[in-house]
Amino acid sequence: MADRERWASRIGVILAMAGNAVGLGNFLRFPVQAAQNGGGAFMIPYFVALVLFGIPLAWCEWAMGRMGGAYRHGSAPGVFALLWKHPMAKYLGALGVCLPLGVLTYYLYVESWSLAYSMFAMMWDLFGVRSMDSLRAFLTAYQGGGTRIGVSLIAWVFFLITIGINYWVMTGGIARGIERLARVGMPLLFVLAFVLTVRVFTLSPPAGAGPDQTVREGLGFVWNPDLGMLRSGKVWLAAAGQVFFTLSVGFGAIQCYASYMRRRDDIIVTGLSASMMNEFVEVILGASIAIPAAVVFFGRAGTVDIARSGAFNLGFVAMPAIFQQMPVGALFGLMWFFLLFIAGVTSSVALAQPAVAFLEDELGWTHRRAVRAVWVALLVLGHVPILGFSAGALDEVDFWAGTIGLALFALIEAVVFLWVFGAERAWAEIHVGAEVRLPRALLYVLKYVTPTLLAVILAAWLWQDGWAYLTMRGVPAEQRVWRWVARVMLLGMLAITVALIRRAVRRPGAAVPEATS
Amino acid sequence: MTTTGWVFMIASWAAILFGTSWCFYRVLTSRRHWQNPEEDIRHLEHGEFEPPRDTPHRRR
Repeated sequence: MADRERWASRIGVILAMAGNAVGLGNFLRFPVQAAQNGGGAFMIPYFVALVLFGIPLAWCEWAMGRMGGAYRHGSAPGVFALLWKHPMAKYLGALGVCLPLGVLTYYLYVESWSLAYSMFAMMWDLFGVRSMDSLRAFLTAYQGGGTRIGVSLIAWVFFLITIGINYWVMTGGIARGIERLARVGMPLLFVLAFVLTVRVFTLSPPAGAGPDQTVREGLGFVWNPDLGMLRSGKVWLAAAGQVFFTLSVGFGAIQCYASYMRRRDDIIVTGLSASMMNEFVEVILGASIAIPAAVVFFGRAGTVDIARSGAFNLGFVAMPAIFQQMPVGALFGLMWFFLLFIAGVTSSVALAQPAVAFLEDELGWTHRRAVRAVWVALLVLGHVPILGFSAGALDEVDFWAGTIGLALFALIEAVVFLWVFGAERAWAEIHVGAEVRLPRALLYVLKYVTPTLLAVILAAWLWQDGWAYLTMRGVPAEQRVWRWVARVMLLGMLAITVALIRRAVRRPGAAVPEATS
Repeated sequence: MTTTGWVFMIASWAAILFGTSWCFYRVLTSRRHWQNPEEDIRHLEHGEFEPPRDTPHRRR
């Protein structure tokens, strides 16, 4: 049997893992969250959550993945079957395959917008559209608003191109595909983000701007602390949620990438490096671009409205409106949208890899066949959020797969690794090949605090939004059909994954071990 | 931007920069493996990867 594929370089692993974590949220979600939850004071619960829960949970995923890889298991069903000798274990792992795919069904569409807008900025100066209202109408038209089928031809074409790029990268495999993409894409992302940060820091207010429309005030909008907000549980929950999303824990992607490491490769310093790189992009670069620029051009009140209208409006309406008002704005617009595209593509290949690894490792498919099957499936399923976009199908998938599903899967991972497999064994597994030792106090944090915090986050989200989403409270009748289609799609993906796991178990020489074996 | 705003921003940036620098110092000065990744992948085909050469970590 041929050796399982491996990462070619340590820096490649770090860049690929950082690419997995760095996404749209680093540039659009974080600054909005910080500004809305106490400014600089938000960083106190943010850092607490990062240290107590984000990075430790990421280390657990790294350890589970590396351990699974040693037994030729790169996806959650195989890894869970190793950790827990129970017939249920591999079926719990089904979530680690279909959740990232569920997220990908809509993520690819948003990723394709940034590719399309890069082209529009580079070749046609965004068609000369300059005002906020015109850019909002432009985005709506691009998304297919007003069309009978719900998608514009140009958006559909760019969706296909985005699928093609992802497919092409993944056919190269781990070292020749994903790692090479990360080794080119991540440094480019840093350069683009750095140039944009410098440009924002040197922005001049537009003519007739008020006294509060300066970069300094823009930074103040993000960083001025409101220490009183630290007494609010909502702020702590928001910080924990942001850390959870930004590190991409609970996707199964870290676990899958780590399975391509060697048994004695260090994961403590390597994992921390990837996490810190993500934090650098989020806290230093991400917080210094969109919101400060918006304050300079639209003032504090205008920025509050933009932030409330969501990340898409900030990224695809407000930012191009700003670039259109500055000299060589088309170039900076291109840089901004291409930056988002790189952040997107390095994440989307990571989200697809668990399914590819599952088909290869557990069903014995060739790499090319597995990649083709996954991307054909995404091509078909991706049409649900696209065609149902105006009916909220994207929001529906995002809530169940991208919010509740992730928290649930992260909780399952933590319980299986730290309680079923055992905290002491998990601690020893994390330290295999370690270059540094972690303080032992972290073991107790991992065992007690991390699962508790995950359970609290999950319960809070279900309490706040779960029942309303489940019953579609306030959803117009004409939107319900597409939202139900989105739910059926997710349930269908889960059912197919479970069926494939059963098939993997029953095939001769099954790689997924039965509990009794 | 208030003074405390500057303090929070600079402290956060300093913490992140220190953490990132420390990590990359450790990674780039580690001699454990993969000092020449381009050479490592040049001759390799998918599914037929040889494990990179093991070299003891110099801190050991």
